[in-house]
Amino acid sequence: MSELKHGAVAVVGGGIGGIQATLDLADSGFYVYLIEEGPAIGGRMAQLDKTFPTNDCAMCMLSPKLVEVGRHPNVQIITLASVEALEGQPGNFRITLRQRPRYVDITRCIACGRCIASCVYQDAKFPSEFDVGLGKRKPIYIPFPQAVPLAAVVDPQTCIFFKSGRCPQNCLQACERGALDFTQTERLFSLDVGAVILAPGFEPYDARLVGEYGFGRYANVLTAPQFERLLSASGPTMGKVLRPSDGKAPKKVAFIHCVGSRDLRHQSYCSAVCCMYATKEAIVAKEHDHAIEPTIFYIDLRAYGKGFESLVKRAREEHGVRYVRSMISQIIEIPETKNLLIRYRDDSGSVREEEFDLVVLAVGMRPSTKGQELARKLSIELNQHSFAQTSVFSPVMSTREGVFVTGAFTGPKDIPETVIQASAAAAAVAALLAPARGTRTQAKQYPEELVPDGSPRIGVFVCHCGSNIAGVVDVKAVAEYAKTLPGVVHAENVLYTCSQDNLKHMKDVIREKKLNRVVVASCTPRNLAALFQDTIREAGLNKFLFEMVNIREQCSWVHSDQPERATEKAKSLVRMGVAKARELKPLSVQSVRVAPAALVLGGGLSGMVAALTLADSGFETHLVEKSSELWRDLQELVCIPEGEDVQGLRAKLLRTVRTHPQIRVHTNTTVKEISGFVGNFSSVLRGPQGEERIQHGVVIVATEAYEHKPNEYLYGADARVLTQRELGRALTEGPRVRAKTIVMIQCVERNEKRPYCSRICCAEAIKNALALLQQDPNRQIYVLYREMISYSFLEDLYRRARDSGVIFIHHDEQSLPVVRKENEQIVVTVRDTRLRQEVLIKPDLVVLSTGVVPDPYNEELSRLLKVPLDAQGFFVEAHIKLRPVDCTSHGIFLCGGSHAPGTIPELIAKAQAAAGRAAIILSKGQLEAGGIVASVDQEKCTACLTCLRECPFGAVFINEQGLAEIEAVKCQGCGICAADCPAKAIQLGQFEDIQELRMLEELFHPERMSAV
Amino acid sequence: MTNSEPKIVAFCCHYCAFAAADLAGVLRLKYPPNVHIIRLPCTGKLDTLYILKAFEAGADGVIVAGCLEGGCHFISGNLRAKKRVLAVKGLLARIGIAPERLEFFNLSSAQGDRFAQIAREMTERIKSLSSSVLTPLPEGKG
Amino acid sequence: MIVADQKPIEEILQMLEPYRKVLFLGCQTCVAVCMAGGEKEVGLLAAAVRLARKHQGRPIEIVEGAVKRQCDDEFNEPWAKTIEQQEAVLSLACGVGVNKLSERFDVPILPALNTKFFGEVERQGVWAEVCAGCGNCILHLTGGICPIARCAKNLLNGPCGGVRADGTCEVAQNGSRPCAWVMIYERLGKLNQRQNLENIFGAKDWSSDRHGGPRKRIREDMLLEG
Ligand code: SF4
Ligand code: SF4
Ligand code: FES
Repeated sequence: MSELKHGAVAVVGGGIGGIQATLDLADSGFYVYLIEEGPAIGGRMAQLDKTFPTNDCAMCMLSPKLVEVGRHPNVQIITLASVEALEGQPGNFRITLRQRPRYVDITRCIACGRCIASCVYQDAKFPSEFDVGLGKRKPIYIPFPQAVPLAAVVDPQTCIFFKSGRCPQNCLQACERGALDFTQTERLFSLDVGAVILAPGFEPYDARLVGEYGFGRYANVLTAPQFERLLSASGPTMGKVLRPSDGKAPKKVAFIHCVGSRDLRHQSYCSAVCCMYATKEAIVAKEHDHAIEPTIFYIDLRAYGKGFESLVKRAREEHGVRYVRSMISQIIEIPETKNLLIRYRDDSGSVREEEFDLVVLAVGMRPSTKGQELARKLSIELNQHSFAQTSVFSPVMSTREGVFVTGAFTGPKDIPETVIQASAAAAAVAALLAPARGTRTQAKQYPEELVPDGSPRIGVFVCHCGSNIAGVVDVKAVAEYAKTLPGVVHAENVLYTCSQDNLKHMKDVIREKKLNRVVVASCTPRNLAALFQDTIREAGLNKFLFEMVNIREQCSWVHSDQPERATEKAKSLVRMGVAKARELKPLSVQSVRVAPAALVLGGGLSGMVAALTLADSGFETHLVEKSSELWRDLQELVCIPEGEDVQGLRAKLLRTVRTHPQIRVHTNTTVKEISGFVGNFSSVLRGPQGEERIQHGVVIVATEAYEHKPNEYLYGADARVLTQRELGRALTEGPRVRAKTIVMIQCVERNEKRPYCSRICCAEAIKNALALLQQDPNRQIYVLYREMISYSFLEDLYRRARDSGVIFIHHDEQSLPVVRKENEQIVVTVRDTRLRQEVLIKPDLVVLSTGVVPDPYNEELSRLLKVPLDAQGFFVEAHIKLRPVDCTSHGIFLCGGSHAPGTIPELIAKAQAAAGRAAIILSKGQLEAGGIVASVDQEKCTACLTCLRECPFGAVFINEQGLAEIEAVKCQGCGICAADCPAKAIQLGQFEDIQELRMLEELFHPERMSAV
Repeated sequence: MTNSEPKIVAFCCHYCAFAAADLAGVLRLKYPPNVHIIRLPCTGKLDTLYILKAFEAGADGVIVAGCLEGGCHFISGNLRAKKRVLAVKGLLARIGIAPERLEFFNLSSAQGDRFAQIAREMTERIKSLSSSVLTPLPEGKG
Repeated sequence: MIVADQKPIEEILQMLEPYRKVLFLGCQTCVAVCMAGGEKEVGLLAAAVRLARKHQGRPIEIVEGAVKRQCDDEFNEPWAKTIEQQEAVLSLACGVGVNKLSERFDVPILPALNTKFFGEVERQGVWAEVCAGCGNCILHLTGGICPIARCAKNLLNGPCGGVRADGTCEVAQNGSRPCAWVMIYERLGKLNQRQNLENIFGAKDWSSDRHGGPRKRIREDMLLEG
């Protein structure tokens, strides 16, 4: 058992997946080498302007992560490097890397850009990789403003010095830091690691290969990644949508779906993200320029993820995006205008022509060449589409033990799916290397805290956030105004406050100007406050001497129509923030022990996988199931994929879970009470043996979603009407299905109340249809659908069904199929959109795809855990893109159908991810307590006991003096006691009355407002 | 001031109402700029005094917004706040300030649109009240 | 503890009518505990009065403060300077505090509270009168439950004929108050002291109550003078 395991991990690929895996591992006690081919991490996400479905700014989400990775004491970023070989076995690998020279010493470079300015190339003339060729760069360049590492890089392919050996090398002189070094050479070296995670990502499909669309020949045909850069405030046009041919603003913009996807001549699979990103780009384009009229040409609109449906609805209803279901036959450029004539066949089959100013091709995802090369070098297998081969039950495991794969390397997927897989891979690694945890890491060291003395010396940093704020608010004026406020000794406006260079700058300013309080006016404190707090702590300030003012989400973004008033408001908000800052006091923080156990609620597939992952990582896990058995019914919880031995998986899981020394299974058990907080929950379980109190550091909600039982279509009234699951059961367990003519109806009872796509029904219907045909090829099967959601590789299954003779009939959302009985004969009618007429079928069997509904138990759990459900009864994640399995409350994680419907591999990845996220907390052993807690002024307390009675967390006790006192560890910082104490003896740190009242006093202060 | 729109203070709890306000921004919804948000950890921290002080500072209206009932991150903060707001409404009525100027709302962090709607509604509501309610009668100047 | 209630704001405003510069002085003992006159209430009341007066067009300047116990000169003394600069003081203490301040200072001292009774905290937000301060305690005979304070009719030999079948008092509306004598009966039962009920109390000597005029208590050994 005592074989050597390395506590370090190699993560290959610095996109969002690699970053997430890196952070998860580094935070849970492993040292991570993050290996990136390019000069900076960030990957494709860094190039995005916004992300669907919330249209959050991609860089705003990503940048803090980049910074975090860059600053993490347990992460080493190795850029410009590729993997050459991997030897050894799980736990004990030796990975060999080849690192290309950067010709710039990143420890010296301050990204000032002087070298770039001095380059013999006066103008940037080489296509910029980051701007997908739309923008230009020089041979020496900084990849993008928020790049990590933030340093220049020389491209030897274009640098004259390397090409001809004759160049004055102005850059060498220009650099004041002596950071340039043209003598650097390629380096080959090896590292010892316990495991490897591969996250090389994808490549956009090469639109040139789809000749009929004219990309590369027609100036005004762009790919979606290019268009994304046009939309970006930091892109080549600073966020203006302009035609490449003449720099004019286009009016009619066409988006063409499935470019290179779902097409046997190109890639047979569906790229899974194009439908949504095109919708997003259409909305954002419209937001940038209201005159734009976007039209989307699509085959199926696959809005199958959480929140997707409502984005499409908004696009249609609020933004006037036009959707046309059609096949494009050709695009022709009109030579005079460079406009584009699109010839397409509409729903009814008639051919139409329409002229557009700009065409955007929603290109699909293809496996990256890097990835394929990696696979070869590391001898892992690829599937028939050249993505990494994984299995349904081990979605993040490659074919080589100890090598894990994640993100788009395993198949087309969006950001949350990638993040989930990344966390899942990290969890799997953490379990594999559990004995080596902490052997290679070190805790972050901070300088001694300075005691703030004397009067406030406040520094104010006002953020442009690119154009997010500065596009509306006059940030310069706000910064100038801040300078006039009492106590402010420094104020400035900054392009990106959260960028690594600015954080460093902030620390310098704090030291130079002896700041003792810092105010940042930028985005919401909910995201970045911790980052800034850590930064000022690094500069020696107590992290609570910080106040953040939200002038983005709560100002520029909501008042973009009134820039002047937004500026006035930003000033008010800054004035309030400064007023509060003047009164801030340092607060102390203590460490509290974490109860090293987990509570997993729900003993289905997800619950068992989560419990096993945690237990394998070495943490005691309580698996609580309200029914009498774990994963009681094979078919109830999950959609069984074709040809997979789910029964076997279930048996294996049951066996391992039951016998695992770290797992305690509580069946027939419910939770009566959950109190406490992250690191220290205390719960009462009510089971057959009575009540039991357990202490645990984390909670994982792993309830599943169940098939919806419909009221329509004669279900329950006629035995010839079944649900898909019931049919699936009949197909596997009997009795034998005899029907000859079968109608399947998709999206049954999917309506306003249940608007979401259940994600699995289409695949389930196709699978069942194929199984029916296999039994009897003479069957007639009709599938009535609104959209076929056979995303990713499921598209192949869909094609097989069509090829096998299953007839797919599309109908509108408005004209639903009708099922009735005529003299014992079931009759189904539906209006076929293609034929434009009513179709009548007399089936022997009607099968309803009803979708799934969340476990009603969620409601009780939501109450017990104090975490919200969405309108449909699913738990709400902390962040739809980047924290998909975290709950808004710390220490609570989501997986299974509790959060959203999913397929088996998706559910397994989600369960592993939730377990991995939870294990981060458990592996810490200690959490910080204190800080924002309440405390009693013993002089003032009159021992009225109000606080003692009110505190929801039992944090108040009466001390030996007979006065109230608050246990900092228990105090959650709600402030209920502080608000109600009749003697005003209680203050809540960071929210003291004086601080709040000063803000109020300054709130509407016309004199000061007009002063500037 | 350059505008005559009512000045409103919104005390928002960090977990839901403030997050909803953020979401309103993320969704690029619009509401009048005169609504100023003050973040509290929970509406349980809302001292009744803050409400009166807000009016004293010149607010024409006060919004207190916490989590949905049962959804308070601190269990009972929003229930306490609701009662406090009710009590202050009573007091306002007796000192000649229309209690409609103060309102308590429950919303979840997912309700960005609701937040924007509340901001707009309160603005409209206060506009419709006689504008002289809080301004001193002329002879009392000084 | 002494339980008091804040006067209606209208009445307070009326009292303050003539003044433009007033100290609001709370007390951090009993009236803080019963949430009528502690520092918190001072802040609230002051803000409300300022708002009301501003609205009337007659702004008022208010200094806010609270002392540990207004019934002791020593606690009030630090405020002497401030008090002397005021046109009036609004005391948020019980009546004792108002008297105390009035004895010491030559400024009008106005009561913001109605002082009500000696009470217990039934539960947060509810205070109940359980002692009448009659000066002649018999609680050892009545199982610790005071019939003078808790019986609406101060009966010493209860209950009267007005006790309802459910054990509540006829005086209180819709059975909101239990009959003190039923409580005493039950309590004595628990204590095995029902025989106490066989003693008939004679007529009560009310001279120890405030019917004999204002009372005073002196503890000779603690006197500092003489
Ligand atoms: S509420 Fe205030 S006065 Fe009462 S016991 Fe608590 S701290 Fe003391
Ligand atoms: S702030 Fe007060 S009421 Fe809230 S948890 Fe802390 S001690 Fe308890
Ligand atoms: S946390 Fe939102 S009201 Fe308490």
